[in-house]
Amino acid sequence: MPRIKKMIKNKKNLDRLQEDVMKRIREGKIKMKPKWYFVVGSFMAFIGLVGLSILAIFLINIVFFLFRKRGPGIVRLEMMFSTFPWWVVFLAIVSILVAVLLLKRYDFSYKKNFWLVVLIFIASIFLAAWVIDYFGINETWSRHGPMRRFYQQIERNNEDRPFGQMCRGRRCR
Amino acid sequence: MEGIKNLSDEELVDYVRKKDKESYAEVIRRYKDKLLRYALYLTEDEDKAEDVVQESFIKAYVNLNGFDTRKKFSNWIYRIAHNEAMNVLNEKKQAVLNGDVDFDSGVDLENELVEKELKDKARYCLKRLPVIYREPLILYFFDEKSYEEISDVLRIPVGTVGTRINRAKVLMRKICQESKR
Repeated sequence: MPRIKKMIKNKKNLDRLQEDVMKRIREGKIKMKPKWYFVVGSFMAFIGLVGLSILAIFLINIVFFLFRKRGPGIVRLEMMFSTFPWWVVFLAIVSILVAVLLLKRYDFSYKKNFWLVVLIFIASIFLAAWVIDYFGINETWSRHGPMRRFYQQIERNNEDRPFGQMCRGRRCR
Repeated sequence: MEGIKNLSDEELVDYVRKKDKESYAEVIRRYKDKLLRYALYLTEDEDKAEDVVQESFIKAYVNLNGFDTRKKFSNWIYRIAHNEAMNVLNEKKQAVLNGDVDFDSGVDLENELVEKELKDKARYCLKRLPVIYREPLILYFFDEKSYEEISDVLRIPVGTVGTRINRAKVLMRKICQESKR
């Protein structure tokens, strides 16, 4: 008997719940978000993912570029680490992490092995950065085009200034 | 109005979005019992379960235009209810996410637990099951969802669904046996 009473109570509550939700809809207290809101949301997430991937590729390519400029050798390596622009590495890691979070929005992130997806994503970023460096595209960017000044500045900073000091033109602060 | 009862869930959602908001009552009618049962098993509290269901219907309505009608509406609304229930569990710190009951993963007990038997005995033991195992088990046995559907609701790989259900069966057996003693 108590079970039947409970069922009736639940049924009444559910009917009340349905009425309550519908009343709020009729009164306009609850409104549907427009279609464009979701379209823009998806588009922004996609653009964000692409943008962050490009940023990560660019930053990692800078790391490869600086490594190559320094060349091999323990002493050079030590010197390079003391003057290395670590913010590039930090920013690259942050970009990758945010991009991975954005990847989770997509269905394939749980339909496939997510860690494998992340691994392939990171490997693709490193591969793209390496290709840019291998074919000397960054070398061209460092001499021509809008990124010329950025490359030259970062290269100069990495040569003999301790990390944290910024150079503007030929003079250092 | 009679006609909408023959529509599939996805067609009904499309109808609500484009033609008649009042028809959302039919969506609620179709899912209120199922979602309440699901929420009740998760929260173990009638009032909280009702709140979860109400919030789920409100959120579903607000985001109805974000639903892709090529997918299954049932999975989508269960996902919303899952998120709401998890919020409630997290708030009250009721969720025991890491089970403290040992089990032998190598033991194959699939045949020992027949579905019907499980349904009858389950209620008490289910309450004692960690939520990460309880949830796929409820969806599989009580809501009769497939592994793929559970994967969509919980957003975990199909393989993980299978693993959790198998582990849940083993855990259930242990818990039920302990409770008999």
